[in-house]
Amino acid sequence: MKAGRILRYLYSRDYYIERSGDLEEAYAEYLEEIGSFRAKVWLWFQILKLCLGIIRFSIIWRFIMFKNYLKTALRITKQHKEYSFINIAGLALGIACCLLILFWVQDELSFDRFHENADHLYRLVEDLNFEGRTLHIARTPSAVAPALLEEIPDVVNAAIYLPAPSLLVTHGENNFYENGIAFVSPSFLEMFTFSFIKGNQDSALKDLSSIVITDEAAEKYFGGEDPIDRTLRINNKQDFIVRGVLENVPQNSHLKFDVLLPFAALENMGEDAGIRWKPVMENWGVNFYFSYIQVAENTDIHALDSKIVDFIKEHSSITSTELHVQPIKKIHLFSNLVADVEDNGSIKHVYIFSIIAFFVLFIACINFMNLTTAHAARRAKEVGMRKISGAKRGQIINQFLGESLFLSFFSLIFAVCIVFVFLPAFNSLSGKELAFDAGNSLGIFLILIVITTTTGILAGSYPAFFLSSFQPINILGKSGKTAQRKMIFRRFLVIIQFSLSIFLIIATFIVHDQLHFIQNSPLGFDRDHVVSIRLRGETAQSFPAVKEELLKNPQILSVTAANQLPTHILYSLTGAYWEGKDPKDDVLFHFVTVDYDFIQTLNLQLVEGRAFSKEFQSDQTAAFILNEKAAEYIGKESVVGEAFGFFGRRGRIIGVVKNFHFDNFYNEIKPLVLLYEAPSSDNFLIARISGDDISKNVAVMEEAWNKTIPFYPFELNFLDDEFNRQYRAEKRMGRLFNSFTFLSVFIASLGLFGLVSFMANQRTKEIGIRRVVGASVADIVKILTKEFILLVGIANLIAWPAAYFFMGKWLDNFVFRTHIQMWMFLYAALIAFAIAFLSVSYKTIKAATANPVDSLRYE
Amino acid sequence: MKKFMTRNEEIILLTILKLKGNAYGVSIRKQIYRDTGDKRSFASIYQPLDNLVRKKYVRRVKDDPTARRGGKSKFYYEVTPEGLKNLRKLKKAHEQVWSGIPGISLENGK
Repeated sequence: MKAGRILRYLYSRDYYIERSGDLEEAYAEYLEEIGSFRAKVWLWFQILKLCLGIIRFSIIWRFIMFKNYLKTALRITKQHKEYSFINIAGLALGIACCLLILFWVQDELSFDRFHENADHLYRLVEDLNFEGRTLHIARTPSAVAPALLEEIPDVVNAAIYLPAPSLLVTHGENNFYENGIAFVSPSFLEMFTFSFIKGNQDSALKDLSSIVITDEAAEKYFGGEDPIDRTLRINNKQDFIVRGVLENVPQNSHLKFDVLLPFAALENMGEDAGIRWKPVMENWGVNFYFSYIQVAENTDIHALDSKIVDFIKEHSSITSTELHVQPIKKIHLFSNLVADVEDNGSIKHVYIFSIIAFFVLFIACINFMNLTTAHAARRAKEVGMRKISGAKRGQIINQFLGESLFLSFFSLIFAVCIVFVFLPAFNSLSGKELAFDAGNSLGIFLILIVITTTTGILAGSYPAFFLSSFQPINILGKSGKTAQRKMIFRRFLVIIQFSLSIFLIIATFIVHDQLHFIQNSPLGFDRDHVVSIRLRGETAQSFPAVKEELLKNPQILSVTAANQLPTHILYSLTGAYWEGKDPKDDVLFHFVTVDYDFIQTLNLQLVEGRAFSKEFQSDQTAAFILNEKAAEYIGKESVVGEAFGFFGRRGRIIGVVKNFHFDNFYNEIKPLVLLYEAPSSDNFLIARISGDDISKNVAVMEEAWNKTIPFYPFELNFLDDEFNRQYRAEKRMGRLFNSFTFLSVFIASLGLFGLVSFMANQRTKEIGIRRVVGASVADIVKILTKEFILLVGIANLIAWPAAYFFMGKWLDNFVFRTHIQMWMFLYAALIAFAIAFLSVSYKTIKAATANPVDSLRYE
Repeated sequence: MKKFMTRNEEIILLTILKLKGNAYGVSIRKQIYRDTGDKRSFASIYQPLDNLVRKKYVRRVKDDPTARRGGKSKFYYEVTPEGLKNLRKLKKAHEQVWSGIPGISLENGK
């Protein structure tokens, strides 16, 4: 009888013999009575019922024991509140930190993957060989994409994308400077998956006056109304008809826009759009556009790439330029190109943060294990009692594993709460818009549940397997011997944790010192109370009137204009000429075109010569002002009056200004030329106002602006803010270091706390005896603390050189930088010792002040 | 005071007594069928049996292997004195409880 064999797994041997025998006997009778088939069915039914009965029985008993374990676990949690809290909080914090970082990593990795054709979309990038080095540029000429589509069969679609500077967009009363405008060719919406809410890609962007907007922009301009077929006016000049509404662009797209205009419309908009280069479709020389291609499936991309390299050589005379293809999925993390659409992430950061996440989690897990273990050692007696009352070893193992799993899952829940609370703060820190939703976090949660389970099992395994192996007689008998364990590994961990903390403390000091240095170094010009207004479109023509109106007010000290803000001057040109120049050398000069009073408004210091002046007619076309660095190239004692040629002009140098920081602190001060030019579209009005009552002065400016230029809204920036905007990344890094420092210090103290609890436990009797023979509380604290001071000392020795080396490297990125100073190290050490002392003192003082009678009676 | 046994356990115990030394799985099941008309599964026989064994009201005794059962031994069940004592107590309690009830006739629901 085969079926009966199943019972062998359910019963012990005796019972198996009895029950399968009974079944067989009854089965034999039924076989005669009701026939083979029905008897078999009956037999299987019987066996099934037996199985169910046994399972139910064992579950009931498990449940009863489980209730007991749960009760014990809860009692212990309650009894040792501070221990439980620290243990759970420590692990929860580690998991929460890991969770946040994993969210961030996941978001970084998800960039540009939402397009249906993501695998077949490529961007063209340019390698420009220049002055012996290669510049990798994200922008290409506008003629490339259409030509590729026409001539290479593998390329099935092509599009051009060009983000525009902010333009004035108007619908009725709603009049805004719109930042997210891009010009695209009609095929753009065929290639990329930006789904339509209203309208479709057949009608959108096909004719010159069509415009496509995102849901957000629709809300902004039209409120609740249906935007389809309504008009939007751009720069108070040209009307566009809304042909489609798109869903908002996902945050994990490298292309970010709110308004799309047809690329062909650029031709009419010209200067108004602030785009200087006319988009001539046959233009192969101006690399100003982003070109995207879609390739056919199964295209050999390497072959295509080399084909494109040759292809360009046929069309363009500039032989030093090479074009390559770049998969769009790699744009965000794997490229760092000149003039890209936005600041990209970096795969390096993804790696670093992933490592940090797992390191934090690892340390938190180890601390959790240590604390759990230290604590479980106290429960040897409980184990003894359980064993005497008949617990099997397996049951004790289950109990301890269950308990630590219970704690670790409690931590997981706690961690999720922490993440909920801190997600907004984390978003502002990381500049992302991460959200908790089931879709994206499921995978991460599965990983975390695995990790939590593993931690729980590992943390519980020591007490479970070690304590359960004791003979009850040894635990409960006289010797009272509990776990003796080498603690080298724990000491090692404490050292690592403290090294990391000290490193981070020093790093925080250095980052903040550098930020302080940047904020407070003289720039060479005065940025306080200087404001700027962008002169968009036709407003540039009204500049003289505005200037006059503004200067009527005595609170507005000085007004000028320039094509770039003095905090970041980017334009540069080669081809300067001066007398005695070596024709072989070609120097790249930065330049800025300015209105009169530029030097006065910014308080630039003239080393020699004079500023541009209305009294000299020739200043408008034939005068140059150099900075000291540029003057050095000319190599004469005094350069004023020297002949100079630049920017297609020839004339004389009329003055030299002291070097000032027109670029960020990462770079040296470069040669700069100032030229006069009357303000044109997209220049900046720059004014110095009196610092007495700033908000009133701004109001005065607004009034003057609205009086002269009624249609364009008044929008003003402080130069100081513009300056600080350059160092957002550094500020963010500073804040990130703050958080990491806090976290690592907290976790390190936990580790130390775990170690000291364990040791104080083990040395209870020793302390008792010392007290009896006359040691004071201070003596005992000293004995217990000595070792930790040593550990923290070693940690300092490890962290100092590491911090010196790595943070030195970071500072080396800056040409203008602060210096690493001794006090940073000493302060960090001081903080570390203080923290170490605080975290051990609670336990040591408790151990030292305990009544020796109790501790010696401990057995 | 020990708890009373359940109705199932009581039926099994009485059946074992009735079978007078020939009580093993198959015979107990048959006897119950004869007495009550209730065709029980083996699972619902063994479960109260095991409970009775654990409470020490019943003893298991191993017999020699028999050919009819595929060479497997029978296990006979015997009621222990403790089982008898508890059964008596149960019977007494039963009578006590039933006797206190006046107006109910047990004859066909009248």
